[in-house]
Amino acid sequence: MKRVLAVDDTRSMLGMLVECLEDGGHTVFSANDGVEALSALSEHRPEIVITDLNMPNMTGLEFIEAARQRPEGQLVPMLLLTTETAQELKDEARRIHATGWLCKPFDPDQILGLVDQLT
Amino acid sequence: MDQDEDYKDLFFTECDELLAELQDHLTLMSSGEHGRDIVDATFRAVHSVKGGAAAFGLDALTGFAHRFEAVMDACRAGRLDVDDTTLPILFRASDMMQELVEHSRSDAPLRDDVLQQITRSLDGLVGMDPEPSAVVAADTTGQTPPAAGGEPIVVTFRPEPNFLASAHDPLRMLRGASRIGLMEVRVTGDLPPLEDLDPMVCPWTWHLTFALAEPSVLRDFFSIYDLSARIDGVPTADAPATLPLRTSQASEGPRVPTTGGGTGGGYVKSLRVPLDRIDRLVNLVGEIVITQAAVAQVLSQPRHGVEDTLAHSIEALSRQVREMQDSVMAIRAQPIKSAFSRMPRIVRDLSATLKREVRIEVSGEETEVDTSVIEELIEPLTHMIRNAMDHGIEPPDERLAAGKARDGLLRLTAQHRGERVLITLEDDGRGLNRDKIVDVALQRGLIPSADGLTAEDIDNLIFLPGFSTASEVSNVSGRGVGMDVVRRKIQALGGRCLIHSTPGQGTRFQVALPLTLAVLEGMIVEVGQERYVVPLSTVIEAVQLRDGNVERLHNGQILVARRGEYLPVYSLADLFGSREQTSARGEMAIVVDTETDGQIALFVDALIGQRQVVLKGLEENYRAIAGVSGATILGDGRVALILDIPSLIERRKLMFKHQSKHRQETA
Amino acid sequence: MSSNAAPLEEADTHHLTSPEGDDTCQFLSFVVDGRPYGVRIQDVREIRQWMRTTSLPNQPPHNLGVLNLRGSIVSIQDLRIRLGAPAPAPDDTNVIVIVQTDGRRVGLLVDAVSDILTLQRADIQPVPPNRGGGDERAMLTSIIMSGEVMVGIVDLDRVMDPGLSE
Repeated sequence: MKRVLAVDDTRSMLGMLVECLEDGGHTVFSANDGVEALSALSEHRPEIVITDLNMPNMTGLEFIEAARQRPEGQLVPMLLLTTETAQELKDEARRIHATGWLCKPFDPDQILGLVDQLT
Repeated sequence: MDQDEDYKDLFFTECDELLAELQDHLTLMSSGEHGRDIVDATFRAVHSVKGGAAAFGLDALTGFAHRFEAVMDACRAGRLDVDDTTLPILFRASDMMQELVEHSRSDAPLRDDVLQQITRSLDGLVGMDPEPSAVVAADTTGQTPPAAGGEPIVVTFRPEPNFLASAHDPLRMLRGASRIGLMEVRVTGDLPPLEDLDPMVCPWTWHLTFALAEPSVLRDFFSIYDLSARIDGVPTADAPATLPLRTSQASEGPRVPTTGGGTGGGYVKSLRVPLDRIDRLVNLVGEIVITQAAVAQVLSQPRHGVEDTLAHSIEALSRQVREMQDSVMAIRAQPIKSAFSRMPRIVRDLSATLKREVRIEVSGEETEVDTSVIEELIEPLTHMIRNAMDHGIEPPDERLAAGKARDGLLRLTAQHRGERVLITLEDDGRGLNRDKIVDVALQRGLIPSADGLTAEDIDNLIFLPGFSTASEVSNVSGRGVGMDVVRRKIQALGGRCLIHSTPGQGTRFQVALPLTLAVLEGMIVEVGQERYVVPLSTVIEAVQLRDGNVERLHNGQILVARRGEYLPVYSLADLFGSREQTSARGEMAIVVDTETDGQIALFVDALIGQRQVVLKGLEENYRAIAGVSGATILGDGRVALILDIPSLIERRKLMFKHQSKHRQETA
Repeated sequence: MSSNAAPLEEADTHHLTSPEGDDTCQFLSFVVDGRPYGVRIQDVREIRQWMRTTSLPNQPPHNLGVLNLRGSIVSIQDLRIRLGAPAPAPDDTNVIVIVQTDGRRVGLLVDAVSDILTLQRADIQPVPPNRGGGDERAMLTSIIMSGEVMVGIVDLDRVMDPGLSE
């Protein structure tokens, strides 16, 4: 059982992600944008983060970049879960040390597998 | 599956919100606001629809949203100007996206040709080649051809400098790999001299040999390292793979409309409710439970002097129940904005079609109304706007000639007025042409003569069924419906329509609607053995019928004198057209305002009282019945019908017309 | 996981509706004017004693009005009239069979409920043509033989059709 932070501004997406992770027996924290995610990161110390990319207030990329500057965020795997495929965005993700790039729609088994694989 | 369906319903609800936002943003842009925030928000709205649509395998929607998104992205990046060329396309795209959402949700018809056309327009804006599919393909790595059955696969894994900083851990990777068939590991690479050693850089390359590993499992496993390692040797997919969540639909052509899961028409509506309203309800339920426990306790005690305590508790209980009812209703209340926000759009479109220049000012959008009212309101509101633009507001030249501003002004407002919401649509056009209205009404046989008609009477003629016909109105107001349809719709909602026109200066339509359709303030009356509910808003007073104030004419008609005016008195049997005499002693009547036919009186045997009743439809298990707007369940469990007196009178008139026509023909 | 549950549930309901396999079906039989009639058991929701209804305006004579059935409003049809039988004013001895098809619920007034019949599918026969014309045949989907007795199976779609609106 892992502590997972799920971040998405779309309630249905977040709901599905949280449910998938909870079904996998994990403890899930959720946040609706990057700003919330940052405080959840400090508060709950998740072992892995799965975040949407396009969100209001603070995007997934901005969040990861900020999180990597913090001690509690340095060694936590952070996955972007997005429908974006643009190479510039991926390059940006690489630059800010995102752990991985996942395409929506996600496969629940794949997500659960990755949580095991990366933590 | 069921849970997926729940999320899908939720997704569709979100789509409604996102599309409404999209409309708002586009409208802002069209009024000249091109701020980065707005363009970003527009992009996000489209993007969120796309993300959800992809997750639920709604390929047609995903594909379209993808194109739309590409255009918004170009706007966001400044590669494309938001101007008079792009905006109309964006508006049309927004409509199309709505259509696709409806299509996915309830299999509503989809105009394929329009879809193609708008898609081409979008692609044209960003110079995109019309590529067949926009569904996101899985990232695959490596170029090695698919492994022949059972042969070992060697994957080369070369971490890049950011590998460790991206929170990857080589050990964890190896541990994971061993679970999917890792047989052998070989490490190559040199450790740099100590002074160059960066502890965050991983200098090695791993050569991993897998036996009996499924290529797809390997792909899934390694794709996550894509951002921070170079990986070779993973077999590619045979076909361009889409992610496997909904493979059944992914295999079809890109333009095959999906019905979204195959459940067909029915979907559960849902509503977004501020949390504090639910909290309030939960607290109230808590209070009620406590009060109920208190009552039970009092009753279990020896019975001396408990009445006071009991009365106190019961009083508390009734207050709490009343509050709970209010809270429950508040849950269904939504700002009227979702209906209003569509109107600027309609005005814009019609301006082009009708060659009018019209601005619309909207206010009071935050006014809250029951969600069911909002849904029902859109159609009559649209029609009122069409009517105002078609018949009210003049063409620009005519306006200038009349000394008015070139562009016409429509003002749409909503406000609470007691237990009703008052919606006003004002235009500054030419006003109603009363002479023409009288001509038309005479010509169509709607009135016998214009004698004695006040200006207000004449204005109200436009609400008569048959006043406007398809041949007379333009194709915009048209489709063969007139203001009678608006009025009927509003009346069906328990509302009323008022019109006020000043020649040369404009027309004001007012619609007063109840705040909810679920609960109705009613007067309960007894007629014979039955009890009926008459909407309180239409009841003016009760009158005692005495010899002094009642006239019985030889043709059977009964009139009652009320403040010097004679009103027709009907029995319910009359109105129901039933042979048996359901009513009554003829001693009492209630005066009801029908709006269309003025005030009438209805025989009743007794007034039981005013009460809030919960409205239940007859359609659910049976069918709608003319003259009965629904039913409710009374305290004793009996069903009472809710009378729609205006439509009963309307029916009766029609019946008479029919009979007299029949008589003429047979004579 | 939830996706596994759906087919199981389906199998279960199937099992309930035909306990002895695919070839049998069950009917609730009742009496109208001395003759037995029936409806498929899976269409029956409940059975209750006659109680006074609230009558609706402008309805055909077989519509007896509406009842409150635990908060939802259900119309009551006089099956005796629909089947062409004499229909004296209903009283406490009459019974209402609440049926539901296509999500719509209707009460059928009958004289008495008699039995639950389990039959082989093969025992179900079409209704022979009625050369006299008459309404009864139109209201039946089929007939079944239960022992020596012929039972007419009521066509709920026809009975529940409220007819043209005016």
